[in-house]
Amino acid sequence: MSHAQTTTLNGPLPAQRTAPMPKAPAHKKKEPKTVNGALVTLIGLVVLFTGWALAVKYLSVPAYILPSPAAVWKALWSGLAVNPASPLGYYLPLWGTLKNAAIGLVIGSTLGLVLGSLMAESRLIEKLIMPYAFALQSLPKVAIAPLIVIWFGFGDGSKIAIAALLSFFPLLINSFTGIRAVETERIDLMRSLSASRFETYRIVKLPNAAPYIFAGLDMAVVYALLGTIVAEFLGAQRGMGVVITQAQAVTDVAGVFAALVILERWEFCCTASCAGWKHGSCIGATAAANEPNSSEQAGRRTMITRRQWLQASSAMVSAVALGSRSALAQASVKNIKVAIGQKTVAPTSSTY
Amino acid sequence: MTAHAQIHASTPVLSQSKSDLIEIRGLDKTYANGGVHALSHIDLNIRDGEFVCVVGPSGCGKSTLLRILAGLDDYDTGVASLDGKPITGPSRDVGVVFQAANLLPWLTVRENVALPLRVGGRQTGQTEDIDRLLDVTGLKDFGHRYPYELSGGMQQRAGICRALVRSPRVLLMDEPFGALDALTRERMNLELQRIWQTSRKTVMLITHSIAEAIFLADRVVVMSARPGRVIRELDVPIVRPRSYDTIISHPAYPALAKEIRGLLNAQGDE
Repeated sequence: MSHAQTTTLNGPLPAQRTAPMPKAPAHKKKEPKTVNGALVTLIGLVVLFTGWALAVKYLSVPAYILPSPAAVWKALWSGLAVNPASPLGYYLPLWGTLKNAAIGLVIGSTLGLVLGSLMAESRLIEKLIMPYAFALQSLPKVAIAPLIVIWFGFGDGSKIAIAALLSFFPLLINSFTGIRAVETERIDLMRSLSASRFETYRIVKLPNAAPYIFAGLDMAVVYALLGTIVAEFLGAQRGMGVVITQAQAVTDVAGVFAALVILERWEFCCTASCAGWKHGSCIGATAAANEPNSSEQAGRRTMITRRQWLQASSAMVSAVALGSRSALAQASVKNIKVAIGQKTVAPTSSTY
Repeated sequence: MTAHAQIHASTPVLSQSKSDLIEIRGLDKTYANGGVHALSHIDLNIRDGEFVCVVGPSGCGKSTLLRILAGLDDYDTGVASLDGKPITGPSRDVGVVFQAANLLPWLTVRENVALPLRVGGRQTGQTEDIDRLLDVTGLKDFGHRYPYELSGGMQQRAGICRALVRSPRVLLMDEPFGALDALTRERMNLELQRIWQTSRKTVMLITHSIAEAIFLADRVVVMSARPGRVIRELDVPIVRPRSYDTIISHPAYPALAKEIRGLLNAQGDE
C-alpha cells in the first residue's frame, strides 16, 4: 500500500516536465507582432550609412573631419587586401596588439584570481592588501601608463604590463566578492564532511563564485585591449595603436576609422563568444523558475553548471586562439616565416 | 570500563542494540556574539538504532543541539559523546541532512550524492553503493539531472542519499521536510521510515510537526523555549511499519499528540 504510493510519486514528474505547454486559443489582438530583428538592424544600418554619405557629400564636410563611408571602406580594404606578412596591412599590427593584450589578460586575471582568492580566504591578507587595492582601484589606471613605459620601455613589455594591470582589478575584486558571497549552508555541508580548506575552496567556493569571476573576465577582456592600445599610443614599434597614431599624424582620418572598425569587430567577436555561456546559464535559471517546488533554486539566476563552465572556458580559449590565428590565416608557411623575420627587423615607425 | 566491555563480549548483539550511541550530559551553550543562551543543561541519551524526533518552539536551540552533535558548533560546558568518544568536530560516523536540500546546483544529482566520497581526504571506511542508494530513494533515473530539474521532495531525497553514502552510524536531520507541501511531506515520511527500517541507522530528526514526530519516532523529545531544555521524553508505542491512516486511528495517538501540543503551548510558542 505505502510502497505503491511511493512509487507513483516518482512517476508523473518527468512527464509533466516534458509535456508541451498547451497552445493558447487564438486571441489575435493580444498576440504581439513578431519583429524581424535582423531586418530592422539592416534597415537601420542602411539609413545610417546613407545619411552619413549624404551628409558628407552635401554638407561638404572636409575629409579630415569626417571621411565618407566609401573612403573608410577603401582604407579598410587597402589594409585587409594585402599580403598578411606585409607591414602595411592590418594583420601584423593586429597580431601584435592582440598577442600583448592576451598575454597581459592571462597574467593579470590569473594574478587577480589568485590574490582575490587569498584575500577572501584569509582575513590577514585581506587587511594587508585591501587598502592598497582600493587605493589603486580608485586611481584611473591608464594614468600610470607613462610610468610603466618608463619602467618597461617601448617594447612589448610595457603593453603587457598595462594590459595585465588593467585586467587584474576586475578579477581581484570580483573573485574576492564572489568567494565571500558563498552561502553558509554550503560551507556547513563541507565542514560536516570534514573537507579540507582547499577542498572547500575548489569544490564549493570557486564554482559558487563563477558568475562573479566571469563577469570580471568580461570586463578584463575589454580592459586588456584598452590598456594595450593606450600603451601603444605612448610609444610602440607596431600594433593597432601605432596604425591609428600614424594615420592621425598624416590626417588620414579614414585610416583611423578603418583601424577603429577592425578593433570594434574584434571586441564584438570576443563578446559574442562570451555570450554562449551567459545564454546557457539563463536557460538553467528559467527552468528553475518554472519549477514551482524549487523556489529556493529559482533565486539563483546566475548559477553555472559544469557543462557551462566548460563552454565558458573553451569560449575564452577559442577567442584568443581565433584572434591569433586570424592574423596569420591567409599566410602560407613561407609567409609566416617571412612575417616572423620582418617582425624582428620591423622599422621603428614610432614617432614618439 | 572493564565491566562494560564484558557485557559487550557476552551479549554482543543485544548490547549493540541497547547501548547508548549518543550521550549528552549537562550540555550548555551560549553564543558568544549577542550572548544568546541557546541550551541549558541538556541531558539526552540516544540508543543505537533508535529514531528520535526533537520538537520544540521556534528558536529553542534544537538546531544548535543538532549542530553540536554534528561537530559544527562547540559547546561551553557538559559532555556530548558519540560511541563513548567526546564530540570534538565533524565525524565520518555522522551524516547530516540539512534544512533545505543544500545540493550544489552545478553538480548533477549523482555527483552531489558522491560528494562525500570525494572529500575528507584519507578517511577510510565503509561506503554505500551510489546506484543502490539512488534506487532505494527512487532517484535511479535522475542521477544525471541537475538539482533544479528535480522537485523539492526529490532534492531532499538526494540530500538523504548524500548523508548516507559514507554509511554513517548516525543520521542527523534538521527539519528536512519543512519546506515541502503537506502531501509530499507525508510521502517523504513514509519513505524515510522505509529507508530507516532497511538501514537501521540511529536517527535524530528535528521537526515542527507533531504528526511527523509521532509518525517517525520511537521516542519524541520535547524541548522548552530558550534557553532550550529537555522537558519531556515520550515513547511512541505504535508498531511499525506505520502509515498515516493507521497511526491517526491508533488509540495512543490522540493522547500523545495532546500531551506534546500541551507541552509546547505551555511554553508560549511564538
